[in-house]
Amino acid sequence: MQNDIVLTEPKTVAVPAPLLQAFDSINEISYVPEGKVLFTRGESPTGVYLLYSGTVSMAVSSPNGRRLALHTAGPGEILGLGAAVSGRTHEMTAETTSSARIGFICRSDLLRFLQQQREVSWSLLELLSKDVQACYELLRIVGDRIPRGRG
Amino acid sequence: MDSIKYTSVYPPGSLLFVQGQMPRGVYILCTGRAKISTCSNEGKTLILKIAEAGEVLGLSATILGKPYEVSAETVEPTQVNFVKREDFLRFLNEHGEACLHAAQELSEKYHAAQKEIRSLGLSQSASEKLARLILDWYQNGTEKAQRDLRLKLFLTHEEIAQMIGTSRETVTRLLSDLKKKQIIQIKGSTLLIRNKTALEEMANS
Repeated sequence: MQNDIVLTEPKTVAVPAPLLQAFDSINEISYVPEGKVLFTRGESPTGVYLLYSGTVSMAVSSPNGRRLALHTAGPGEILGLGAAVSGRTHEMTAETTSSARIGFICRSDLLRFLQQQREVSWSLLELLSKDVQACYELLRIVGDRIPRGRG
Repeated sequence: MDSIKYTSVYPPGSLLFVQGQMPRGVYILCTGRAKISTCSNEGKTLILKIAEAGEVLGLSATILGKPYEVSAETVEPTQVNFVKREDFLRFLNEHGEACLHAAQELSEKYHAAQKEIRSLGLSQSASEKLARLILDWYQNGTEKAQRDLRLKLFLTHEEIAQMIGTSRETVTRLLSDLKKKQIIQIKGSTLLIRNKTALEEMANS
């Protein structure tokens, strides 16, 4: 896409193995082709996606068609977690950039599971904290790229 | 939480914590506001938000035991409850509900940071970003109080510039343009939105 701006890759935030194992019981796994949109900006969260294989592009976009590709998620990452926990609409769009094996946990199952499994809640806190820190890192990268003084 | 918190009142301009510092604990804003900023490798300062009463600051760093990613500075007299890291982690471990609340708070911060990335990275011009910032202040105000187009300005032009990634001179010029076009009016520290539709058009241009 002509309007794409691609940032340098931030650190991958992989899901700890115990958390992936804990999710096994409530996880629906499917094979997804390249170009499948998992969620788009502005959509209410329906659940979280666990990426077992393949890659997913995470991008933000504006109404005038500009797109900022922030990250290419790889195996071991969980997508849409912040929105699923907060219930706020997605700020990013996630689209597969290769065929992928993806697990899905619906939001109500996730929240119920978190309430019942205390040890999982702690892993989740660590994961969200890493997500937040990765976002701050991206913000600094974006901040460095904006020319100051534009009208 | 009452037994592990330390309450203090800080004057404006007090640094609660600084980016790069190892986390001592979390700061819960009881009253007042704090400026949350980050500084890039190239030395550019970005103000991410103005945190308000009820927010927990320093959460992700405290959980991870990694240096604070942002700095927090009070912008008005502010009452803060401080909880030391070891006490906070023990509290989370013993209270499942607190763990979920912390997850909610982190998710809100994640959402806000993504929104900021989108706004900074995709806006075409500083005028677009300034219009969006003024509308955000208006929207955030109306969630808590009555619908009022009058906003209290508690940031300097330099600080507004650091919020939208531009220069102080550009902010001064843009505010002056908005006043000339009668889109806003500024009296002392009060900003009045006179033409919200025009502001919305600028924000979506």
